Amino acid sequence: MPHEVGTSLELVTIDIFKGEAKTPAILAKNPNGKIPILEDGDLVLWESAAMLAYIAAKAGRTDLAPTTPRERAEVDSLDRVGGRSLRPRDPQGRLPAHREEDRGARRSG
Amino acid sequence: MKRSCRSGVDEFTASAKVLEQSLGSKEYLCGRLTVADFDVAPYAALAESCGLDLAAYPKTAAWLARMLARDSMKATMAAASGAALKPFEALVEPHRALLRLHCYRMLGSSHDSDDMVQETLVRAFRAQDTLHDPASARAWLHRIATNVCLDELARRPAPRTRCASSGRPPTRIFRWAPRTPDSEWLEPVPSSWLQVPAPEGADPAAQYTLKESVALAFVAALQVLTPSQRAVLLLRDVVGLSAAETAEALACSVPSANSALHRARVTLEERVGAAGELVTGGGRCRSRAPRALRGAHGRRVISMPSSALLHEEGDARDAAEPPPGSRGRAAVAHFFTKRLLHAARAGRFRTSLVEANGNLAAGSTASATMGRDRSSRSRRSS
Repeated sequence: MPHEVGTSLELVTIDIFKGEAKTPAILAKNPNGKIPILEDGDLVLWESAAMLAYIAAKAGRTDLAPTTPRERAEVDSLDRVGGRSLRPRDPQGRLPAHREEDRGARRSG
Repeated sequence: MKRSCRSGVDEFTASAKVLEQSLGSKEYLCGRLTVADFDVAPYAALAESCGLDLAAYPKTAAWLARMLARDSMKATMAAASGAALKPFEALVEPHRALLRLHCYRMLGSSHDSDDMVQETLVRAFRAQDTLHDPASARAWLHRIATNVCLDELARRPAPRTRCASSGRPPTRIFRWAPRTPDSEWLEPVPSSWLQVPAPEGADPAAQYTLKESVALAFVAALQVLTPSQRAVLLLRDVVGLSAAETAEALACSVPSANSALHRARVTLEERVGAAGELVTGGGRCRSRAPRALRGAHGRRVISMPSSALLHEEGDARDAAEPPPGSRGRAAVAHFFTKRLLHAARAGRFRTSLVEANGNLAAGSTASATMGRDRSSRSRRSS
């Protein structure tokens, strides 16, 4: 999005494998301890969809970030769709549905 | 071969279906280009680079190609592939071979273990911010892989009925379950799978060596354990996790994990003996077996049953879960001398020496002539 609207961003790399996303400095910005984080002056944003909309709106691109209620709702309903399949979930990679069955099996076994 | 669907791939498929339907005849998700396209496209591109195929979703594939052709997306993806995927690949790659063996032990299937590893990596990618210390990546990945396998086992319609009698080994009154699809059979793995990076391969807390942990007899014995007992035993005695780590990985209490471990160890010892006694045969087996197999192509076949390929007690335990009628030394010998070698002499089978699961094995393959016979027969019958 920054490339699309010609906004320049300063990229700060956070190495999550070294635990850098959980440092007090990052947690103060995003209590979830997750990246990405967008800072613009004193504004701190997390969640990529919010950032994209903000960058587009700030650049005056109402074509990309529509302002009419209907268009905006359409964008909001769609912009989460594809991310679901690769977004972080349970720390152990567990599926909730399985655990009950497993406990049952352990009791009987 | 794909018997069941799996969560990460499942969700990707669900998302792709939604995208496909949302796109309809539109060029972009909301008709014209909006921020929604920019939010979704990078994830769709990541799914593709994880090996998830978009070919079944032509509108989504065309939309993604349109998005990725934009200069702005090219710049974004170039930065992302360096920033997100490369470190992840570097993190997981050293563990891939071990994870494949772990999944193999959990499922007893070499075919399924590659699918399990892919699902493990998808889940790991999504959960990567939960790995706080890269030094514990091995344990972290094995925990995820264990849960992937447990989910797969829970999804299967029925447990391995043949192995339902956990605890005591089969007795004379034991009856094999009716013949089941090939998925129910324990599959061997090529010994090349054992070539894993050494430093990560050995854990001081592990009870079994790498070679023991993939011995057919061990993997076969594992399959009589319940999935959760198998998971606990592998995490503790093969991967080398602590009791607390194992309990955490399996979302149960430490006493409950310990009790499952105890039951699993008792069952395993009854079937294959204690850790350290598992891999037998060794050099003697190695030196004798080639002669026996050379005999297989000539006439001196009788030395076959006396070779160390068959277990001392005639239990054919190394033959994993043999088909009904081929259990025991005499039965295996009968199978080789009367059936397989007869076929080999007729030129329909070729038996060669291979390595499987770190041990010597005999592989029998149908010869090309036989294939031609078959096809000519089928042509005649059609």
